[in-house]
Amino acid sequence: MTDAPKYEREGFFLEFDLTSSQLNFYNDGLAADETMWNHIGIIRFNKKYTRQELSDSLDRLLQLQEGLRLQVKPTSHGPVSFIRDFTKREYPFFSFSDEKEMETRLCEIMNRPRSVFEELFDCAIFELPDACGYFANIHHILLDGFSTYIIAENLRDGLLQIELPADSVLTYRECVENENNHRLTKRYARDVAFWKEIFADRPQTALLSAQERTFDFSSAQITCDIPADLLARIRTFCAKSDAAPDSFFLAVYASYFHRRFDTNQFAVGVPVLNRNYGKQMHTVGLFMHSLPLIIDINADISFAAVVQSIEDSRTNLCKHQKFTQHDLRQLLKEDKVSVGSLFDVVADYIEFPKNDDFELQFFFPQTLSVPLEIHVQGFTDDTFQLTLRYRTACFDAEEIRLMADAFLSICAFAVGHPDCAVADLPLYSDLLQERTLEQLRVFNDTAASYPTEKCIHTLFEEQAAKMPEKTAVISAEETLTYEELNRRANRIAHALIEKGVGKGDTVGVMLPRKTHLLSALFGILKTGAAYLPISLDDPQERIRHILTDSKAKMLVDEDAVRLLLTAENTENPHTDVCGQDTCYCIYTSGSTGEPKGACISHGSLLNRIMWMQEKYPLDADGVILQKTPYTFDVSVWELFWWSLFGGQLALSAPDEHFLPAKILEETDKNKVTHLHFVPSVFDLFLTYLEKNPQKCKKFASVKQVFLSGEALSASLVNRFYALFDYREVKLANLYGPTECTIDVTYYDCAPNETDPVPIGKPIANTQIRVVDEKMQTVPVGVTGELCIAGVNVGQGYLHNPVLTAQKFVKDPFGDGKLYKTGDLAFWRSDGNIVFCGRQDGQIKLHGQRIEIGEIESVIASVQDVQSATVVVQTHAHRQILVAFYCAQTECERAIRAHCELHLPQYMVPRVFVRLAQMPLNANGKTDRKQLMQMPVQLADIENGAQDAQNETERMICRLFSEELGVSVGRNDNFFDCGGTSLSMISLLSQPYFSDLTREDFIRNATPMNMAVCLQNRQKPDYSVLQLLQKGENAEKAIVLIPFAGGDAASFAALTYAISKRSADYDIYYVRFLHTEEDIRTAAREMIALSQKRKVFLYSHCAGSAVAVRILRTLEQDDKNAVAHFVAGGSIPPDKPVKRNIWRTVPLFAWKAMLKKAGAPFVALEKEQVGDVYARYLLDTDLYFDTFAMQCNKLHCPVSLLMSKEDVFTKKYDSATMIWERYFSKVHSVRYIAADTHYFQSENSEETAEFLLTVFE
Amino acid sequence: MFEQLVNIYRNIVGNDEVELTPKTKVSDLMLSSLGLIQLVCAIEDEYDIEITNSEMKSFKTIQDVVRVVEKKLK
Repeated sequence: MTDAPKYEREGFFLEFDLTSSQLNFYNDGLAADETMWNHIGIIRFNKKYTRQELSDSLDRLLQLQEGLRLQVKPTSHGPVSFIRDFTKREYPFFSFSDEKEMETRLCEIMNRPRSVFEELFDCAIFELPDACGYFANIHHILLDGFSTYIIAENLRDGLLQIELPADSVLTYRECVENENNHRLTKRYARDVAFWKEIFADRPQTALLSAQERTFDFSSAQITCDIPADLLARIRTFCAKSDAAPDSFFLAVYASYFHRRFDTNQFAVGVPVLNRNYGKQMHTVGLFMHSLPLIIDINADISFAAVVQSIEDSRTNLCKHQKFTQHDLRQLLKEDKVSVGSLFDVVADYIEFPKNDDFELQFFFPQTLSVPLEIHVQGFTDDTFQLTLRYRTACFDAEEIRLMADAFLSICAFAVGHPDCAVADLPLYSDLLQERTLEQLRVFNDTAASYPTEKCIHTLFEEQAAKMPEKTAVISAEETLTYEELNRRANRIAHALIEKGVGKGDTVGVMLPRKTHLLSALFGILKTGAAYLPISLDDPQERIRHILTDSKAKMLVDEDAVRLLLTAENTENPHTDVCGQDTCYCIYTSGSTGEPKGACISHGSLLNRIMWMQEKYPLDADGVILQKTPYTFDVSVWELFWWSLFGGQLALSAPDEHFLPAKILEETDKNKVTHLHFVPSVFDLFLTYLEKNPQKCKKFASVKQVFLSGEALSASLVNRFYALFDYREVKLANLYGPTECTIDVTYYDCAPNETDPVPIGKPIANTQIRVVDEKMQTVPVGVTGELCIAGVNVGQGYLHNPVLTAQKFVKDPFGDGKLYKTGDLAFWRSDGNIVFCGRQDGQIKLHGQRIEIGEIESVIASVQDVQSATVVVQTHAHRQILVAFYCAQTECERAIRAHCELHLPQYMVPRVFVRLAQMPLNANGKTDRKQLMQMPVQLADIENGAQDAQNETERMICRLFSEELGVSVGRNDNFFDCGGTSLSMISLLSQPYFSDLTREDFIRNATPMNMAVCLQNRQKPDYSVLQLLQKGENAEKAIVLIPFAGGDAASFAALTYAISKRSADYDIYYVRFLHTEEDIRTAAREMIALSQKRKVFLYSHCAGSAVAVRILRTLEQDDKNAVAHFVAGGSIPPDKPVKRNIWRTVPLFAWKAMLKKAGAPFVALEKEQVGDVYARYLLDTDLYFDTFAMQCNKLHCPVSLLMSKEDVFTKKYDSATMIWERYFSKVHSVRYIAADTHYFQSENSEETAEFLLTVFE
Repeated sequence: MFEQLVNIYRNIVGNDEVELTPKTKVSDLMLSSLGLIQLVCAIEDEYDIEITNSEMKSFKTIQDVVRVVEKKLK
C-alpha cells in the first residue's frame, strides 16, 4: 500500500501535503486574511477548576491531538502542512462577572482575521462566578464539527485526570496517510462505479435556480427546540422502521421541499464522518465532508416509504463515503455530465453522548457556502435544537421561520401517521394556523356600509336633480349638463321599456366613445336591464357569438340610439331594480377558447365605487378622463364614478387613448384630476415625458393616477416620481379580475418603490384568501392561489353554470361565494398582497420547466432595457424561446451575455428582437399573442455551420441543427443546445454516426470534438496523432503541439488559417505528452506518417519540449522523418533550471500572469481553471526537465516564430543563440505582429503564412 | 471463514480482548451503524463480493455473516 515515503524530514518538522478537503478550502481563498474560516466555540464546565488545572488539561490536549499543532506553509510546490512539536504555552486568561459580557468580549478579542499560514489554534481560559471553561477559535482547516466534541471530551478527561490508553488514538498523520492511500484501494474502484451509476441519468440536483443562488454568501440563522417528547417519538418511529433518525429528518425535509419547490428529485448534501470506525473516532482533524444524496419523491408515496428509501440511499452513500467531493467533481467532469451545483442544501443530524460535565456552544460564521444548512443537534435524552442557517440573498427570514415550523409540524404528524401520503402532510403547525387565521381576520376586516337599496342610475338621478346645470360630460363634439344627460337617458329608457326591455334582460351596446354612449348606458340601467359592451373592432364572428351566447334582448348601435332618442318621455322611469340585479356583463377571452360573459350586480358595483370615493375622494371639481375601451372593466368606474358625486367626465377621442401626446392634451384641456393607465401604456407615456419634460406641466391638474391590468414594476413608479412631485399627484396600484367587479385590492405607491410592488390590501367588504391546492389557507409569506370573497364577487358567467360552478365555489371560510382567480400571490406581514404571476404562467420546453417571468426579469435587469417579453414560438415544428425587448439601442449582445450569466442554457432565448414598442392588445396590455405570431429572423440552420472548418464538422453541425431545431456551431455542446438522451439516440441511429458509441457521443458532444472522434474511429491508424483537418490533395502533413495547458482547441484558428491557404496539408495534433512511452509512440507514428506525407512540426511555447523529445527519439530511428520544425513563442531557459518555477507561483498569481500574456482562460469556470492550472504545472515540469538535459545537437532544420510583445520571450535577441545549443542550425526567424503570447490564435493568419513559407 | 471475519472485525475496532464465537450477536460487537457499514465494506473488499443493504440488516449473529459470505463465494 505504501509506495513512496510520505514525509520528508526538514528541520524539526514533518512535512506533508494537504488533504483534498483542505485543498478545496485552500483554493476557495483560504490563504486570504479572513474571519470566515474561524470556528469559534465555548466549552463550559459548571464547576470550578483552577487556572492551572485548566491550563494543564489544555496542554494535554495539544500533546495528544497533534492535528491541533498543524501549520501550513507555502512552498515552491504548493502549500504543505507540518506538525509543530509540542511546547508548553501561556494561555490568555479572563475573569468575567457576567456571561453575556463574556461572549461579546471574547468574540471581539478572538475573532481576528487570519491567514492559513498563521497560528491556527487560539484558545483562552475563562472564569465566571460559578463556572469556567475554554473559549476556542480554531481555523477550519484543522478540524470538522465532530472534532469539537472530541476536544471537549479530551479537555474534560484532562480535568478529571482520566488517563487515556496511549494507543487508543490514531495520530493525525496516520489518518491523513490512510486518506491519501484510499485511491489505491479496492474500495476506490467501487466508489467510482457507484458514483458513476448515481449520476448516469443526470439527476436533477438543484433546488434553486441559478439565478436564485447568487454570489452573496452572507448568512443568518434561526434556532428552535425540538421537544424531548417529540424526539422520543421520532426515535421510537425509527427503531420500529429500522432507520436512523438522520433518514427520518431527511424525509421530513424532502417532503417539505417537494411540496414547496414542486420538485420530485433533488440532492441534499449529507455530511459523512469519513473516519475509520474505532481509533479514528478520537482523532481531531478535518475529515468530514458532504456528499450529495439524491432524493426521489412524489406526492402519493407514504412518508414511511420515503424514510425507507432515504435510509437505503444513505447506507449506500456511507459505503462510499471516502470518495471526496473533489473526486466526484472530477469524475462528473470526465463524464461530461454537467452539474451546476451538487446540492443547494446541506442537512445533518448529530447526537452527542449525554454528559453532565460540560456544555458546548458554537458561534457560526456569518457566511455560508451553500444557500441553506439544516442542523439537528443535541445531547442524548435531552432537547435537541433545529438550526436553519441560510444565505440572506436566497431566503428571507419569514420563509425560513415557516420552513422551521413546517419541519416540526411534519415531524409531529408523521410519527403518528407513517402511512400518510407526502401530499397530505401538514405543512403548518396548529399554532401557526391559528396565528394565520388571526392575522387574516385583521387583514380582511374591511366591513364598510354602502347604500344597498340604491343603484348607480338612481344616485345619478339624485345628482341631476341637485345640480342640473353642472357640466356632466365633455366630448370633442359636445358638452352635456347633468340634466341634459339625464333627460336623454330617460328618453332611451322609456323607448327601451316600450320595446319590452326590463329587469333581467341584457342589452348589447356598440357605440363609439361619444356622449351618446353615456346616454345609452344610463338609459339601459334605468330600464333595469344590464348592459353588454361590444367592441366596434371585433370581427363579425365574435360579435355574433357574443350576441347569441348572451341572448341579448337588443343591440344598441348608433342608428338605434338616434331612434331611441326620439321618445318623448324625459321623466325618470320607475323600476324595481335592486342591488341583486345584474348591472353589466363583460365578455372576457377565456384561456380555453370561447369568450365568456362575466356578470356584475348593481350592489357589487356600488360597493366598489363607494369604496373608491371614500379612499380617493372626488368632488364637484373632479374630472375623470374616460379613455379605457368600454369592453375592459376599468372603464366602468371611469364611466360612472363622477356621476354620483357631481364630478365630470371627459371622453377621450376614440382610438387615441394610447398616444401620450393626445392624453396630455386632453388632460390639460379638461383639467382632468383622475385617470387610469395600464402599466405598458404608462411606460410609453413616461418615456414620452422623459423625452419632452416641458410637457409635464400639461399633467398639472392630475391628483390621482390609477394603474391596473398588468404587474406594475417599481421602475415605472420611480420614473414617474422623478418627473412629478409626490405631494401633488399620487399613484395607486389596483388589482382585480373582471369577474369580481373591477378591483379587489389597492396599494398606494410610495415615491421610492422596490420590486415587487404589492397589489395591496382588500377594498371595502372584500376578503382575500390565499390558499393551497387543497383550499387550505396558507400562512403569511407563502405563495398560493389568490381567491376572492365578499361583496365584490360577481354573479358568474352568463348562461354558463358549469364554468361558473368551477370558478365560483362556496367560500369555505364564510357564507358567500369564493372566486378562484388562478393568480398566485402571498400576503406580506404588513397586510399587503404581492402578486407572483399566473398559476399557468409556466411552460415546458425541451422537457424543462420554465417560468417565462423569470427570463423576462433577467432581461429587464439589463441596463438600457425598458421592457421585455418572452414568448414561445414554433419553428420547424420545434418550440423556441423568443425575447422581444424595447431599448434605445441595439443591445442583444449585452442581454445574451447577461442571460447566459443568470439563466440555465435552456432558458436563454434563442432569438432576441428589438422593438420600437411592445404591441398592445385592445385592453392596452402587452399583446403576447401577437408576439407569438410575429415573424422573426432565425439564424438559419446553415448559419451555425458557418464556423465549421471541414466537411465533417459542417455535416455534424447540420445534423445537430436539424435534430435540435436551433443553429449549432462547431463549439456548441449538443446537450447545452437542448439535446436530450432521446435526441442523442435518434442521431446515433443515423448511418453517419454509426461508428460512434453512446459514450463517444457524450464525451465529444461538440461538432469539433465529434468530428475528430469520427475521423479517429474511421481511421484508427494512429493513437497519439489526431487528425484535425484533411487536405484535399494532401502530400504533406503538419503536426501541431500545444502550449502548456493547451489542447486541440488552441489550434482551431490556426488550422482554419492553414486550410484556407492550402489544400496540400493534412493537419495533425499531438497532445502534450509526458511519458517516454508516449514520446516513443509519437515518434513511431510520425515515421509511419512520413512514409505517406512529408512531415512538418510546429509547437507553441512549452510544447517545444515535446517536439524536442520526439526529435531526440527520431534522431536515433529515422532522423529525416521530420522535414522542418518551427518553434513558436519559445526560448529554452538560458541556464538549466532544476525546479519548475511555476510551482512556486500561487493560483491567483498564475492566473494574473497568464491573463497578462493574453491567455484565453479568463472566461473559464472556476473549476476548469483549476484543471488548466494542474495541466499547466505538469506540462511545464516536462519543459524544464527537457531543457535541463544535455544532448547532442539535433540536425532537424529549425525556425523560430516570436512576438516582440510576448512577455515570455523578452530575450528574443538571444533566441537563436540559445536554440543553437540544441539544434545545429536555426534556419530562419520571424517576429510576428501580435500583442500576446498566444499569437497562434491572435494572429493565426501570419502564423499560417509563415509556416507555409518555411515548409514550401 | 469465521476466523477471517473476526480478524477483519478486530482490524477495524483495534480490539482483541473480547471473546467471539459464531453465536456472538452482531449487536454485541459494539459497532455503531457506521461501524457495521465499514465492516461490511471491508468484507466486500476482502472477498470481492457485494452485500446488499437488506442482507446487512438481516445479520443477527456472526454465523449469519459467515453464511452469507460463504454463499456468495460459491
